[in-house]
Amino acid sequence: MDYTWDFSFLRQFGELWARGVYVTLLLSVAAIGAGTALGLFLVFGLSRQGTIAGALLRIPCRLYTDVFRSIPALVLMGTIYLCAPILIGVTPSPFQTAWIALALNLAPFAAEVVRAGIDSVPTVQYESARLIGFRGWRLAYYIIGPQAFRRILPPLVGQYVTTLKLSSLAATIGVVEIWNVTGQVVTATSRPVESRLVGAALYCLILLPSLWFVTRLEKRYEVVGLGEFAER
Amino acid sequence: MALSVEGLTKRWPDGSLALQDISFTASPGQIVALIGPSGAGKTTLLRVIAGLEPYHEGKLDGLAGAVGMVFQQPSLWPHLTLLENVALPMQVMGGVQRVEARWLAAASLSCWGLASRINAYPSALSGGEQQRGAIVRTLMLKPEVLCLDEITSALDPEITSEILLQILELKETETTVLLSTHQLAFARKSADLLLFMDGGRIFEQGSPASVLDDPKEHRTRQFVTKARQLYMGFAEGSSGASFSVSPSAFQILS
Repeated sequence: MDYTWDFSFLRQFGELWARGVYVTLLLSVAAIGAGTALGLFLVFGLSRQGTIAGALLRIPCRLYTDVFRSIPALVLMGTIYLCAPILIGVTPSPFQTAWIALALNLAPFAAEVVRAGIDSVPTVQYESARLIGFRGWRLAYYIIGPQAFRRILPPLVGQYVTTLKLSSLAATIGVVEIWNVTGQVVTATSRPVESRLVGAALYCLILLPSLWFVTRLEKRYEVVGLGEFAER
Repeated sequence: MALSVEGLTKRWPDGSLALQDISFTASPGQIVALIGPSGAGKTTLLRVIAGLEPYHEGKLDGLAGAVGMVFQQPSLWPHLTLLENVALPMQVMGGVQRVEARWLAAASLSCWGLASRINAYPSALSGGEQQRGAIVRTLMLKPEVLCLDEITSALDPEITSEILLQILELKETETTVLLSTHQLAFARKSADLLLFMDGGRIFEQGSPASVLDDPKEHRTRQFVTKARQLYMGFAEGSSGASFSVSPSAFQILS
């Protein structure tokens, strides 16, 4: 292999990369926020804990969850970008399009994760708490919430990581995030290998620390331990 | 106030009878033992009395105060220590100060031999410790009626007898104890009233001695005979004699 490495372009495009990282983070955080909020709303319709769900709510929530889980994020993004101006006469910016698409894509997955976490708390936990007098928000806050949260956190963060990675799709509709910047640098420098390696490394730089953080969180909760209850 | 159950009937959503014309009364401080095969309706009856299940006909009186229930499955909250499990309800619902709630909880747990385990999480406790913890947590409510649903069925004989002996001490607290159990010897010795149930109804009720030693109904006699065979069988087996119990006799252990 006689490839000659040359990373000297980094100095020249430093500011552009920084902007890419900023936009990737901004887009991901915005999509995660909106997607989670929408997802939590869906949970009300999906959970088998009937106290919060009515049948009227259940059908549309179920439908949305299943339909949007089966549309690829790239297809969703492209469809919104190209069809919104024609169908509803609104032309969202590339960033808004990506934000909406990623949020709509995350919501059903987040909802399923949260629902599964809540529903996996054994019935006896609800019943023992109710008999002792915990009702409503007290039941949710003191008894069910903490147990569900521990089960939800790891898979939910997994979904967030996926959303951040999917944000690279926004490059295709012209959002100036990491992968779009990478493309620009490739064109400008004719250093495709180095540019793309830097782009990939930037994603690692963002995600590896968050993954380690989650592993640590999981470890911490392991000490508290759902122990044998986890299998019930 | 005496607990009185009159003509209690409950149907499952498919229309089949879960409980059929259940009637009995119990005074404060009495122990009522529910015996019978699995699926007889013992658990359902306790759940109805505890208010966890609706019923369709009949009357339930004497449940003005708190009703406590301890389940067959472990029910301590796994994210809290044993001490917190007992103290939290007092803090949240009783408005008791944290320090005081913890002090009361620790004192009660000590009475049940759990003093050294108060800072353990449920996953680190043995099955017997978890059940005793759940009993203490329920007793803090000062329930008028306490339902215990086969709480010793997953425990070894030593722990079982320890827990059952402690339940006997509840007689002094005016708590009416309803317990479903397969420990016929315990039921015979300590219950004030014994109900034999099968198929959702009470076949026979009365003093434990009358029901267990001289059953009037055929179904009761069948059950008691099988149970007796089982224990006698074990006794003979240990002394080296032949061990001849029909396999169905073991069903009552399940």
